[in-house]
Amino acid sequence: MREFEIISHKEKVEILIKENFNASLIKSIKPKVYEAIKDKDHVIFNFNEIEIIDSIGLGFLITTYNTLKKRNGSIELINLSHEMLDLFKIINLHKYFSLKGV
Amino acid sequence: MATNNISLDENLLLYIEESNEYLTGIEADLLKIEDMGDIIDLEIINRVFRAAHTIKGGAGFFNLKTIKKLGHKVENILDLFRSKELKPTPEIISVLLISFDKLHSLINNVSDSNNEDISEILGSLTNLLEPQTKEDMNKQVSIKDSKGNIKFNIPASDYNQIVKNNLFLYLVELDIIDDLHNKGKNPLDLYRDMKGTGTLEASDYNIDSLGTLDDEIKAIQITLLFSTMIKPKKISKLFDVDENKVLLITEVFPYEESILEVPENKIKTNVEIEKPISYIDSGVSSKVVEKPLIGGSLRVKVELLEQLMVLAGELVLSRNELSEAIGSDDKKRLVSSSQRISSVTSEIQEAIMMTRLQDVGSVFNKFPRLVRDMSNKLNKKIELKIYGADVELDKTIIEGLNDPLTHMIRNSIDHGIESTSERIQAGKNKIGTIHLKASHEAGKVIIEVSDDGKGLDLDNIVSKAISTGSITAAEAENMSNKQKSLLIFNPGLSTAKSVTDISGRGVGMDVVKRNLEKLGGVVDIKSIKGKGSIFKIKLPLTLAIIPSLLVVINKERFAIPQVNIEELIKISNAEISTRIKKIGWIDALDLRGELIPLVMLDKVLGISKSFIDPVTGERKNDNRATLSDRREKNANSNIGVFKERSSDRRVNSQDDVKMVIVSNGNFKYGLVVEEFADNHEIVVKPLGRHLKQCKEYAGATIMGDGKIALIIDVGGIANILDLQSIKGSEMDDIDERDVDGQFEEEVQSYLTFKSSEKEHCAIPMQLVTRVDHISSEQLEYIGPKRIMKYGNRTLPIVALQDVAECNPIEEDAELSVIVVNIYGKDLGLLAVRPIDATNEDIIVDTKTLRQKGVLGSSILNGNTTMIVDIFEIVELLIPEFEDKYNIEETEGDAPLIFIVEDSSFFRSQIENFVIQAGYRAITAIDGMDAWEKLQESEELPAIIITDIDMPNMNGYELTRKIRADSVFKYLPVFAVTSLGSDEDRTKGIKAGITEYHIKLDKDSLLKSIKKKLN
Repeated sequence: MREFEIISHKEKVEILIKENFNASLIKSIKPKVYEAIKDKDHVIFNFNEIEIIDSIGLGFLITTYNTLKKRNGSIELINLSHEMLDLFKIINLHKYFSLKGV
Repeated sequence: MATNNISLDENLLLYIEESNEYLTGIEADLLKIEDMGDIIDLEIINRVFRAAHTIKGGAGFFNLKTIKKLGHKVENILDLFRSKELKPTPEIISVLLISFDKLHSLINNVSDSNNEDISEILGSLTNLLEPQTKEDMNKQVSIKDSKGNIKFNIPASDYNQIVKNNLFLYLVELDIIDDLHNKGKNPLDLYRDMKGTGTLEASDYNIDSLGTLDDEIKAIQITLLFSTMIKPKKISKLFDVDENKVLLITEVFPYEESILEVPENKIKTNVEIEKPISYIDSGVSSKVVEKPLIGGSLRVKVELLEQLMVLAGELVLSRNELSEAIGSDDKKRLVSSSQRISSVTSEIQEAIMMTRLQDVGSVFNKFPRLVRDMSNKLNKKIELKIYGADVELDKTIIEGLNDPLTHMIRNSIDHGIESTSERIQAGKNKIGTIHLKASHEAGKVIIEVSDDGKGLDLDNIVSKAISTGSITAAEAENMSNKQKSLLIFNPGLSTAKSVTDISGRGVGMDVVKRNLEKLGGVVDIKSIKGKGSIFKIKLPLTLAIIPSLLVVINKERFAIPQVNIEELIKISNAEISTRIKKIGWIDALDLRGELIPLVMLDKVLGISKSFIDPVTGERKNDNRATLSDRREKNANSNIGVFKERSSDRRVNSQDDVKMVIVSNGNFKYGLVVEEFADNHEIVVKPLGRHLKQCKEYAGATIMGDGKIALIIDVGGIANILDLQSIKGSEMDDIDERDVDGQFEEEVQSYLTFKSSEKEHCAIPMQLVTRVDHISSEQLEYIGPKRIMKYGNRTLPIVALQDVAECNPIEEDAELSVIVVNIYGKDLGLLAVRPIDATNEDIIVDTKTLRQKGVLGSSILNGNTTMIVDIFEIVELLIPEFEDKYNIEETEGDAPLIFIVEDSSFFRSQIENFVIQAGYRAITAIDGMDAWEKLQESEELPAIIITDIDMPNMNGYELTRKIRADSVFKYLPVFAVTSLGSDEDRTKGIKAGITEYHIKLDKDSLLKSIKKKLN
């Protein structure tokens, strides 16, 4: 089973995360996402209630955002677990991302 | 989820219930605040503030925006009252009254509350704030880093709140990659750590510095502003970063563990003085019960929560330490962090248990009403006096106490207290008194319900018991008064002539007893005909965890709850024949003249006892059946417990008989076990349904090694064996003073003896370690000194006649040696029997019979008794016995010692030996007196020595006052007390007592004074 799934829509890309959002996942997801968002401005990360994110994962989200920002794109995180949502909020990520809990 | 909804609804209901409870008292409080005008009574304001705060807090939780908004505004104004920035004028109070009315209606209509328009009220509230504070609200505080760059701006109000709450504010610079990722942690760990130990006030990072997906992420720098209780020297552990990355912004509260540093606001929340709450049934209450009733919810003291927060922080730090130790594979650090975790865990456990504790007052306060209503109905005049309403007990126990106590108080009103005319005829005060008293005693809580009524009618009880068939007439013949009175706990026994709707249906006391037993309690009765009765309930502080002694039988461990244990006894092989007697078919132990039935725990539980063969070292089964019968074959085995002994004579330490003397409140028996193991705090697990028949066990517990230990049910075993106390009971001859309900006095135990046939003497019990009967041949004389062999030591023996002018001991007198321990050494005092103990609050006449070796005299048990001053005797006879404490000659005045003690006897004792040691002393007769004298005195004493249990103001209270005072706060306070339990000590330490000393332990007290003054 894949650790993630990238579903491209017309205007946007939805990335469905199925495993812990950590360094090993980023390693395999990064080139795919890089490709997928080349011509799309809106990216949705569907966290699917995943409970774990590590520093690399966090960095990846921010660099993705920075990449999109150059093109006036946006990033949206959905189905965040309670704890993750809280974490993102207290470190002010909601200023940059659109966040949605489960 | 459905379950979520239900729990939310329940919570909301709880919130509404609680809010209404808070709101009920508000109106009166607000009016009181208005009345007092400029005089700010913080207690009342705080009460109102708490109400507003709690309502606001709950509203936030349930997303009730309107209520929250209003609550917040009200809270702001009350806070200004507190800080004296705003005066409570009638106009302001009116607005507040309207606001609380509105809150009330909003809360009772929660579902629509968010749609209500409260702009008008909010407007007028804001107007109140306008002149002084609007500015404040918008003020910002800048937080700078070590280089002076402004990192954050936070609202001044937030900052003040942090300062006010004595929190530390830290600015932390963190690299998420370096400080978290490379150390194997993830951001959520940090988030949890911070959440558990404080609040993240603000955070900031430069999002652009990370670059885009084209760049490699090297660092994620983040700056955090974090408020917490964690101390500066430990904070870098929490974040696991270099100390220079953490900058302390505030250091407002140099929090140290020293008890002298307890801030004032923490002191206040502690216990109040035991004040009787009086309620006379004249229809109009003279004194109103002041404390509000505590309802269904559980309230936890703020300081306790703070303590928990600190502990949670400690735990996190310890865990970090542990993971570091694991990472570096450092065994030494592993051990130290595991020790730390274990100590933190037990502290947390203790603190959590404390959250379950509630004032027993929440039950007690229901009774004035009950007494009033019932006594009116029965046309009796009864006063209820409540003591110790602040004693704390486990929530479950408090809840379970209500019914039994109601029964008992009803009984007291209905059966106990006589009608007014009967009372007058009997020459008693026409107003009957019921005392309801809670107190701590040796880790347990004692609740006493006593009345000065007619007492139990034992004949009536017995005839009733015989008629219902629960006992036979022959049995009744042999029963002691004590046993007779215990009959009222039998089912179906009511002695009331007519069955009233109040009591007397014969389902009272047995249910009471059963219910109390369910709570782990035991109940006892003392009663004197015509004088009154005392019901004494002994309860554990908490149910979930009980201190227990583990005992071993054939490698299996069993737990015996400490509440049931009276003492542990080991009888050596040689003593068995003299100490253990056979009565009928059971063994009994001669325990200080009282025969205690012995139960072989292995037999009752059906386990074969084992022993270690001294020759082979193997563990073998022990076939011996009884203790007393150790040699001969037993012939008359009528019940099969006696088995033929094998020929092995096991004379080694294994042959010592070890027993636990247990009591279920009514009588004692000894449980013979194989080994004593440790004391443990065990967590009680109930037994499964299929084991319900095993009445021998009260439950089970899981031990540290994962094995199970069954908990012995002391009462259950007694019932199975149908044990009855052989001796009636030591409580047959009860102390009449108890019945009169004079609880306030401090009672001192004395050992009474004679110095010759006609002269009575006494010595404070605290000094006595043991008493031995001897014959005059055992005394040896070496030069002028009298000695005695005592074990393998030589015991110096003194007698009163050596120093005092009194009659010499007659030659044929029955002698005893009272062994006292002074200056850490044993000493024998020669005494003539009979030797007895008495509890009396005596007044010592220090003039009439004062002479060398005699402090003074008093009347004890009706005899003029000389109180022996053993210290003086020793000083005169064996001066070298005493270590010298006298202070070196110093220039100027000797240090001043302040002695606070209500008993004149102890006061003069302590004063004497303090002065003898070369100090100066001043005295006070209770806490109140001491406090006044302290304030008037021109010279600060060097040390305060105080008693704990005193009228007007007790020692705890005095200490708290001293600690809260800016001038006196650093004075050392020594407590001298007979209350030696751990709880008392903890309570004392909490209050700020520097050291504890046992009364009259001159030796240690003087040593400590000297140490402290140097």
